[in-house]
Order: sequence, then structure tokens, then C-alpha cells
Amino acid sequence: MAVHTVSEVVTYVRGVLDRDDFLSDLYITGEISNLTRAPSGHCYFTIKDSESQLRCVMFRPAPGAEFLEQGVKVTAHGRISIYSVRGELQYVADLVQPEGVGELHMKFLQLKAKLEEEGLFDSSRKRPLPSYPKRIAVVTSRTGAVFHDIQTVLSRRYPLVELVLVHTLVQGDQAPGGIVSALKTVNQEPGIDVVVVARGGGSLEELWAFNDEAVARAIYASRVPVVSAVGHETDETIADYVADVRAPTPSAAAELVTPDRVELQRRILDLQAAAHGSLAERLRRHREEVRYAVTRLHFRAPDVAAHRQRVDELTRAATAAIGGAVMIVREQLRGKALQLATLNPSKTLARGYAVVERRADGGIVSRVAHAPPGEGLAIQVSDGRLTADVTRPGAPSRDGKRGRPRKTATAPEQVRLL
Amino acid sequence: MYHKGVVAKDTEQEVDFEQALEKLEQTVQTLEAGGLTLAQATSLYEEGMRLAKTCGQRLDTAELKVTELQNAFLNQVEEREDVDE
Repeated sequence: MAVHTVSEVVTYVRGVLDRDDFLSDLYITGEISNLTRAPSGHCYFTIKDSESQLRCVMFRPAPGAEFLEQGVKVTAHGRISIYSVRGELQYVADLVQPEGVGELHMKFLQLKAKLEEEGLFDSSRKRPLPSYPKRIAVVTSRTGAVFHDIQTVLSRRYPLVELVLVHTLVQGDQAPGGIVSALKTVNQEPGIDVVVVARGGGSLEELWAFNDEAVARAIYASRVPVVSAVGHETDETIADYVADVRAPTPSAAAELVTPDRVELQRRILDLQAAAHGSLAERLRRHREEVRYAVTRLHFRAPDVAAHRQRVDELTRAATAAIGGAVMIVREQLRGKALQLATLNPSKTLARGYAVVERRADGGIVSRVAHAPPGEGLAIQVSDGRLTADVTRPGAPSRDGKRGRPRKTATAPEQVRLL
Repeated sequence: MYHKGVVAKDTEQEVDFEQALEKLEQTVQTLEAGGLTLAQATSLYEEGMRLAKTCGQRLDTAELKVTELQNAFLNQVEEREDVDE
């Protein structure tokens, strides 16, 4: 007989429960009672119906905890386990919703919580979309309005792209596999800039493929940025959460992934205007500079007019100066002429003086010694010439070496008489 | 790409739009930043005008090209369930 410890037994039971597929993935509906919210955020409660009850725990970050309230009927998802410390059976709920919420919605919430926990929705991994894509892939059905809508928007908005359709079923059992495969195709094709995963509006069931875990993981794994455009604006799918960008509709997705042609045309016009304005401004500035330079040139240039005026002034001054000098000279000349007139010998002769020359050589006789006896003399007087000969030697007068010119022919007595 | 007859002859047509636009942006920026000789500025201006013309023509004349890639998955699953709305 084998004897076991309590722990061994409890651990064994836990193993049995954990391995049971039914017990480990279980939806339960019932009424909430004995609700306790621990400060840690965990919730402890009992879920019961008219006949039975189960102890429940909900660990902290579980979705739907806000629906827990005394007496409220809920549907919960979780697993049956055992609380070893007390050996009590308990239901570990990971999701709670008000009773009546469909199974699909429960599954949706469950997967959402799980992938969120894994980080598939982290905003830090969202990639920006290319500004000017060249190849845009669309994963959708070739039938239906979605592809046509996208094509129409792109034709109008930015027809510079290649629109690459990757056809897939978008609802039904084959849809998730088709979408996953289409995304793989897109990622294997070189040069795809962005991929739009799209489907038109529909019921939760019809959109279900976009809440598929494999689809979510394929979107997450995509090397090419993914835009989701599933259903209408109010529809939310797991694909929307994982995608890099969520578009409210397929047409909106086409707009999100492309620039607008009209805006680009305006931008180009603006750039042209800017280039034009820049050059025009530059030319205006240069014209201004040239004008300024010319002004400075004028300012610095020699002042010809002033010089001309100065020349005129100097000319006038010179002329005046020369005129004055000439007058002075003329005055002086007049003075000299008067002087000269007084020295005119004929006038002296008229006053009784005579010029005595030697006839032989024409030498002027101004001293006694000039005319020794025997010398023939010519005597010039005011009205003619006399001829005389020196007969006796002269004697110099006592009153100076230089006597007045006298007639050599006259005797000293005569000279004295003069 | 399908081009309208006359335009298809234009060799500028094959210039990458994004590159041309980016170059245009840079050209205008350089021009506006200044520090160029007048000859350089004039030459940049001409280049800018040429690029603007190229970009404008590309926008005016482009037509959407549509192609399709085969989804391998659909070859396995026959398209019997194509029931999109």
C-alpha cells in the first residue's frame, strides 16, 4: 500500500486538470457572488447557478474585469485548476463578458488580450508608410467592390504607381490560409512598398478571417508595411491592431498610402515660384548693387566742373596779374623815356655844350691829354661841325681830373670863361 | 505603363518622380540658401524649372498600371468559395 503526502496528491490532481483539454479551455456562464477585489488588482469571486458554485480567481490584467459585479450574470473564459494551499478547486478566468455576448466576440477578446500581451500591437513597432510608393500590393478578393474602389482612388489621386493585386478569399474557412499565403507572396516579391489587406463591410462572422491568429501573425511578420482596411469604420479586427496603419475603409487606405496629385502639383508650383522668387530677388539685389556702385563711382570721380572753374579762376588771375605787370613795365618805360629825353645830346648841345672828336680817329676828346698840339679836331655844336686844330698843349684844370667837356680848341682862359 | 502617344516619346517620362521631386526640393533649397555665384544660381534655376516640368508632366500624364501576383494558396484550394460581397 503506497502512502502519499497531501502535496503529492494535490500536485497530481493539478496535473490531471491541466492536461485535460476540456477543462483547460472552458467557457462558463453564471452569476457572480462573493466578489472581492484585492489591492493587487486580482479579483476573487464565486460563479454559481441554481445548483452549484465554483470558486474563481481572475489575475490582474484580464479583460472584462470591469464587468464583475455582485449578482451580475456573465460569461467567462478560463481553465479549471486547483489551489494547492487549500486543496480547493478553482476556475482561473482570463476573460469575463456580460452574459449573452457571442462566442466569436469572446474569442476575439481573448485573442486580442493574448496578442497584446505578446506585444504584437505595440505602437513602437509600427512602421511609417513610404511617401512615394511605386508598387502597392492589395490583398483582397478580385471580385467585389474593394479592389475597384482602390483602383479608382489611385487613378485619380496618384496614378504613378503599379497596383499589384494578390487575390485571396476574404471569408470562409479558406480565407485565413489565403490571406497568410497572399502576404507571403507579397513579401517574396521584390519592390513592393506597401501592402493593403482589405475587405468590404460585413458581419462579425464574415470578417472573421481578419481575427484569425495566423493572419495576425502573418501581418506582424510582414517585411512590407501593412495597412489594414477591413469592413466599415466601426468594425475592429485583430488585423487592424497588428497592422502598421489602420484605414477605416479600403478607399481610405488607398488615400493613406499615396500622396495627392493635386497637392503635389501645387507643391511643384510653389517650388517653381520659390525658385523664381529667389532668382528675381537676387537680380533685384544685384541691380541695386550696381546702382549703388554707380553712385559711388560718381561720388569718387574727379570733379571736372570744379577743376574747370578753378582753371577759369586761375586764368583770370593770371591775366590780371600779367596785365598789371605790363602796366608797371609801361610806366617804367615812360619814366625811362623821360629820363632819356633829358639825356638827349642834341639838347645838351643846344645848351652850349659841344662834342669834340679827333678828326683822325673819331675818338672823343674829353680830357686835355686826348688832344695834344697838332691834333685836328672836329667840334660838334648844336647846328653843325667846326674844324679846329690844337695849337698849344692844354693844361688840366685844377678843380678835378675830369673837366667838363670843353672845346679843345679853346684856351684855358676860354674854358674858365665858360 | 500606358502612356498617351505623344508623351510616351518623352524620355523624361522614365525619370523617377520621387527622385525628381526630391531633387527639385533640394535645388530650390540650395537656391534659397544663397552663397552662390550668379552663374550658379541661374544654372540651378534652370535645373529647377526643368525638374518642375518633368514632375508636372509625370503627374499629368501617368496612368495607373494594374498587375496581379498569383497567390499560391489558391492553386491548392479551388476557387469554389469566392463569395466576397
